[in-house]
Amino acid sequence: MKKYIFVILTIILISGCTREERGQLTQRGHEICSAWNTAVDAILTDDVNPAFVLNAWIISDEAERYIIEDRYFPQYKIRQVDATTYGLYKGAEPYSTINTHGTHITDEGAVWTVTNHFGYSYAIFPIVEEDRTVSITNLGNDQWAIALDSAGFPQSVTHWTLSLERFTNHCSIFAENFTLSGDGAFAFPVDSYWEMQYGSTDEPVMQHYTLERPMQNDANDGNKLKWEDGKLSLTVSHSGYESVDVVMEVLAYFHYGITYRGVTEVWDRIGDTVYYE
Amino acid sequence: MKKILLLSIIIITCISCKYEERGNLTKKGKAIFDTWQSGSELVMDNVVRSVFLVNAWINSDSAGRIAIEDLYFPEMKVRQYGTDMFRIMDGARPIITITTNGQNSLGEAGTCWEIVDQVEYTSVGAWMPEAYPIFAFKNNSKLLTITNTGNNHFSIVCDSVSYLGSSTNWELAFPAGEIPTDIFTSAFEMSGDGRFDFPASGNASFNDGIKEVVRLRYHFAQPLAHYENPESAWESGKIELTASMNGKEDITTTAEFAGREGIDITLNGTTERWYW
Amino acid sequence: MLNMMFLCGQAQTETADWQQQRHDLQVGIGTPFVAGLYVGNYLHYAGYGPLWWIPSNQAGYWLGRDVYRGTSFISPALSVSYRYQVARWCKVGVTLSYAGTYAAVFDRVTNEKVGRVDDHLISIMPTVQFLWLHRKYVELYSGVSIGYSFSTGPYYDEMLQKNIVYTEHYCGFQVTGIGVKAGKKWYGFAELGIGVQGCLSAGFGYRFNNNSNN
Repeated sequence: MKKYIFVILTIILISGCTREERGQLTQRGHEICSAWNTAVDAILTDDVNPAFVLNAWIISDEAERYIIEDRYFPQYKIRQVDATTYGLYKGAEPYSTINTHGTHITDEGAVWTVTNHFGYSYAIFPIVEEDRTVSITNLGNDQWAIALDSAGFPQSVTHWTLSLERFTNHCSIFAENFTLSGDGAFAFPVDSYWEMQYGSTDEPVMQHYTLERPMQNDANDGNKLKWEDGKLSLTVSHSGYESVDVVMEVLAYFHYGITYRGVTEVWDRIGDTVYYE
Repeated sequence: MKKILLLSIIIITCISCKYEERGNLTKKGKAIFDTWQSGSELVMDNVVRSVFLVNAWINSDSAGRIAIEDLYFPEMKVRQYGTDMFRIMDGARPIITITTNGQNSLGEAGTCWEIVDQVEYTSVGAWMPEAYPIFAFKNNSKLLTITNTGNNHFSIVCDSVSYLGSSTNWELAFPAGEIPTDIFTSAFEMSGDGRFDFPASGNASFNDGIKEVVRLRYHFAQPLAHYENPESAWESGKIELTASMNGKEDITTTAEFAGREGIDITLNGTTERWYW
Repeated sequence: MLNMMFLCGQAQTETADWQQQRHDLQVGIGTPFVAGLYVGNYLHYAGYGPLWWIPSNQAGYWLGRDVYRGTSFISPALSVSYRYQVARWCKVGVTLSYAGTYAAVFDRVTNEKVGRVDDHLISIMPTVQFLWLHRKYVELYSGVSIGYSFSTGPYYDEMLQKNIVYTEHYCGFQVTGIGVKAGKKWYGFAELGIGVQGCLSAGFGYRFNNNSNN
C-alpha cells in the first residue's frame, strides 16, 4: 500500500514543470519589419505593378492581350470603363480601377492613379481609407514617384522613387532589376483583430521609416518581389510609450539582418509572421 | 379515486399518441422525379447551355465576345487554344473543354464537338451531396458529344467513363433560323432517353468508391417542350422513370409537366399534381 | 457458539468504532489539472498559449517589452479537510485547498528578470463523503464538494512593464468518483476524481475520538 502511495505522489509532483524557450532575441524586431514588408509588398504587387502590366496590355494587339491578362491576372479580367479608365474585374465589381489620364506610363510627366477597392484586407495592414489610392508619376530617366494617397487616414504616406534599370520587358516590374528609395510612414491599428471586425478610432501605432540604402529587387519570373539588397531603418511610436528603433538590412536573398535593441540577428524570411490565421 | 385513475390513464395514452399525416400518395414518385431533374440539370444547365454560349462567343467579334463573357461568365474566362480547342477557365483551372474538330460553328449541319466537363469534384475524396448522379469515378467528369444532325436538330450524347455511371441520349430540336446564344431564352423540344446512377446512400466519397447504386432509367414518352421563357424550364412533356436497385423491386413512375403550374406524378395508379 | 458470540461481539465493537471516531482530519496532494485551468496558465505551460493572451503580432504590442517566461512550475494541489461522521455511510465537513503556478518573466534581449507571473488558487468548500463499502481496515467512498475559489497573484504586464496583481473569483468544486481509505485511526487514502483538489490525489488522515465517554 505504501509503495502505491509513493508512486502516486511521484506522479503528482512530476507533472508540474514546463518551459518557454527564450528563442531568437530580435523576434519582436522581426515582427515589426515583417509588417512593414507585407505592406510594401502589397502596394507594389497589388497597385504599382498592375499599372505597368496594364500599360503593356493597352499597347498590345488582341492576341497578346489575352496572354498578358492570363499571365499576370489569371483571376481577373481587364475591362475598359471609359476613355481613360480601366478596371480589373472578377464578377460585377472591380477589384481595382486604374486611371491613365490619357497617357502611357512610359510618357515623361504621365500621372496614373490606381485605386484598390480591397486594399484593407490584411489584419495587420496599415490604415488607409478603404479604397487605397496610389499615384504613379513618371519623372523621366526611367524613374517614377510612388505616392500613397490616403485622404481618410493621412498618417500612412509614401514618398518613394521607383527606378527601373532598363525597362526591357515593358511589362511586370518584378521581371526587372529595380530599386526603391525614399521614406514614408505607416499607421497600424493597435488591435488588428478587433479593428478588422468592429472598426476603431484609437490612435494608431506609427512606423516612420527611411530607406538608408535603396531596396533592390532582383529580376525574376515577374510574379513576386525579391529583395537582394537594401537597408531600412524605422522607428515605431505610440504616445505614452518609449519609441523603438529597428534596422533591417538585406544581406542577400533570404538573408535579412535585423537589429533590435542593440542585438543583430540574421533571419531567412520576412513577412510571414504577421498573417492573421 | 377511480375517476382520477381513469383521467390519468387517458392523459397518458393521449400523450403517447402521435399522428403522422398520410400525405401525398405519390411522394416517392415525386422524389424520383426530383432526382431526375437534378441529374438532367447537371448536363443541361452546366454543360449544354455553356456550349451554345461558347459557340456564340467563337462566332462573335471582339466586342461581342467581351459582352458574352461578362454577361454569362462574369467570374470566368473563355479562351481559345490552338485552332480548335476552347475552354471556360476559372483562373488557371479549366472547367469545360471543347474540341471543335475544325468546325467552329455549331450552326452548321454535320458539326460534331467533343466536350469534357471537369466540374467541381476534382479533389480525391471529395464528398458528393445527396442526389448527385455519378458520371465517373474519381472526379465525376463528363464526356459529351454534341452533333448538329441538320434542321437545327442536335444530338447530345453523354457517355460515362466507366461501366458504372450515367449516360444520356438526347435530341434537341430548335425552330428554324439562327440557333440561340442562350438556349434558355429559346423554344425547343427534347426527346430521347438515358439513365442516371446515384449512390444509394448520400455522402459517398469518390475515393471510397460507390458501393451500392440506384439506377434511374428514363425516356421521354412525350418530348419535353421548353418555351422562350428563362424562368421556367419545361412546360409540357412526359417522362417515364424506373428506379431500380439490387435486391429491391423496381419502382416505376410517370411525370407529366402541367404547363407553368406544376408536375403531375403518377405512382401505382394514383396521379397527383405537385405545384412548383 | 462461542465463535458466534465472539463475532457478534466484534461486530458490535466495529459498530461502536465509527461512533467513537467521528472526527476526521486529513491532508492530501493531487494533480493540479483543473486548478491549472482556473488559474489560466496550465495550457500556456503545456505549449498551447495563454488562454486570454492577445497574440503578439498586434501592432499595439510592438512598444511593450518583449519577454518570455523560462521555466514555469505548477504546485500540486494541496488540501486539508475536516469531516464529521454523521452516519455509518456519510461524513460532512469542509475542505481548504491550494494550488499555485509560478514563473519568472525575463526580458528576451537582455535576459534580465523583470517580473513574475504567479497565480495562487485558494478554495474553501463544504464537502460530503459517501462511504459505501466497509471492511475491517479498508473503506471505499465517493464524494462531492462545492464552494468558493479565488485566484490571485502578480502578472507581468508587457505594456506597463511592471507586475500587476489580478484577483478572480470562481466556483470551486471537487467530485470524487472513487476513493479508498486504509487504516483505522491513522489512514492513508487515494482518490480518483475531478476538481480543484486534483484528478488523482493521495494523502493521509487521522480519525479521533469524541470527548464524551461511554
